[in-house]
Amino acid sequence: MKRLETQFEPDDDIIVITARVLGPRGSAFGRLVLDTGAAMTTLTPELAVTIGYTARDGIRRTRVHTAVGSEDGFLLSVGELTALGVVAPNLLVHVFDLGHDNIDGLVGLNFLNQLNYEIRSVERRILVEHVAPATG
Amino acid sequence: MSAAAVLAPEISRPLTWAEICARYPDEWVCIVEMDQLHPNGFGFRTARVVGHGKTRRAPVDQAMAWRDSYELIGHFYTGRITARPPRPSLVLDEETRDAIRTRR
Repeated sequence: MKRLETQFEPDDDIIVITARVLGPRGSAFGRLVLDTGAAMTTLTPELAVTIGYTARDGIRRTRVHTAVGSEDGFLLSVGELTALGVVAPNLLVHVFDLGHDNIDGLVGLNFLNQLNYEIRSVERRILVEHVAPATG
Repeated sequence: MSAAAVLAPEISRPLTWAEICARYPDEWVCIVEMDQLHPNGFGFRTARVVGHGKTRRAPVDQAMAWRDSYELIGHFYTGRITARPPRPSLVLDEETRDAIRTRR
């Protein structure tokens, strides 16, 4: 099984990785926080707009409570999300304004659950084994 | 600043990330022509800036003038990422819950 390695950035106590998302108008790179406590992968509306999505493309409207208030969002199936060297086609993501000014979103468990991964914090690297989904 | 000035598409010469951070400190930038060092990582030798601003949205609006010319656009913050993101709490009605479950 192929093992992939990704270095992550030494930004204090959060793990920031680069992700590439694909939409109808092209693709975009952004920096997302790897968050094993988040069920859903989240993108900011700005990153969604960059690749050609708006709320009209959402499959469900949502309402989100954060420490800073309440936000409207939507669920969206992006063409592709690539992170840690793994491509997830048609990934369901949650789009809303995180209220945090310097990241593009969160990589959550609906992406991470497709992988076996090992976070080696001292070495600032993540090792990944991509497990292909069962078929049939 | 006039609307025409905002809309005028501009592109920088190739810059290193250090040069981009020095030129646009604590701003969001949209960049193209990233000469990446590693396929999974953030590092690149040089890139060209097609938008910048203090908000996440400002560089996106400027970069859309270049969208048809570049398949890949990077959207990055030049300052230090320090704060923890707020943990969102999604309000689940039954239809939203079903939409998430059926995609797992």
